Amino acid sequence: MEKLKLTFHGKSFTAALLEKEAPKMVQALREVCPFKTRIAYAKICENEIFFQAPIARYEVENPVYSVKGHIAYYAPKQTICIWYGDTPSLGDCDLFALLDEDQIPAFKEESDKVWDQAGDIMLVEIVEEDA
Amino acid sequence: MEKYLQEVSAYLDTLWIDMPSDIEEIRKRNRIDGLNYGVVTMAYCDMEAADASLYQLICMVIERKGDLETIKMMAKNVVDWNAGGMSSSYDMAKGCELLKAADKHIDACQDFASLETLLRLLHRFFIHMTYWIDLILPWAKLSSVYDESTSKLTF
Repeated sequence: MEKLKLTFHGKSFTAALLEKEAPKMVQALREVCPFKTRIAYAKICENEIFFQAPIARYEVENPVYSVKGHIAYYAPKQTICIWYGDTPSLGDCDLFALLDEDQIPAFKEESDKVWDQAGDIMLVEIVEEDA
Repeated sequence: MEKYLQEVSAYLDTLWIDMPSDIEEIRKRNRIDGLNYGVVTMAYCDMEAADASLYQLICMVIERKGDLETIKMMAKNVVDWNAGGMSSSYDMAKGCELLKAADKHIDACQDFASLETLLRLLHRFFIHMTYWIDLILPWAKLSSVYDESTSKLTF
């Protein structure tokens, strides 16, 4: 089974891809991975990081009001957003993956650092589970 | 237009990790006068607005809805406004040159398909600029100073 793998600050995290709910978004991601980009911190939501992705979509396949653990695509800015805490998003985004729940505390520890130090590199991959 | 699309696409491909020269220039603008923060903030606002505007126009173009000439005019509005800003306010010479050329190519589009191709590329350009300007703003420090400065603000 494929998983989304996110590596930053020397640490890797995985997420389940929502192939059923967002097949087009998952396929779009498959076509561009692996890629590197720079991470930024959200300006209004706490507990959210985001990065620009080489994906240009102009439809929303799986609009969901995102909460902790959600990974979603925000089309107007071609952004992948990741929520890792209790602060919900400002609105619907295109949900396409879920962070592995047991990894969220460690993900939070690294993501909190992005507020003070934005611009570090994120490597985005799709891997086979157990890779 | 094909050559323009290839050149711009190749340029945008270089912007994922390495900061564009235009961003280095923004950081210097009016710094001596102590007004660089205003420059960067306004540039950020302009790029954010362009992202949203082009997204909406592209959605219309993809659906082939609306009048082609009207959408072209609206797209030119976004492009020309920002070409002007990049030239006179932000010292983003490369961006200005790119957008001035885009203006002509928008004029030359005779159908929705060619306009869609062009606008998608321009949308990506503005998004790259938005991200880079976002990264040069020290949000944590700014927020801290803002909180301190406004905690006792009354009117």
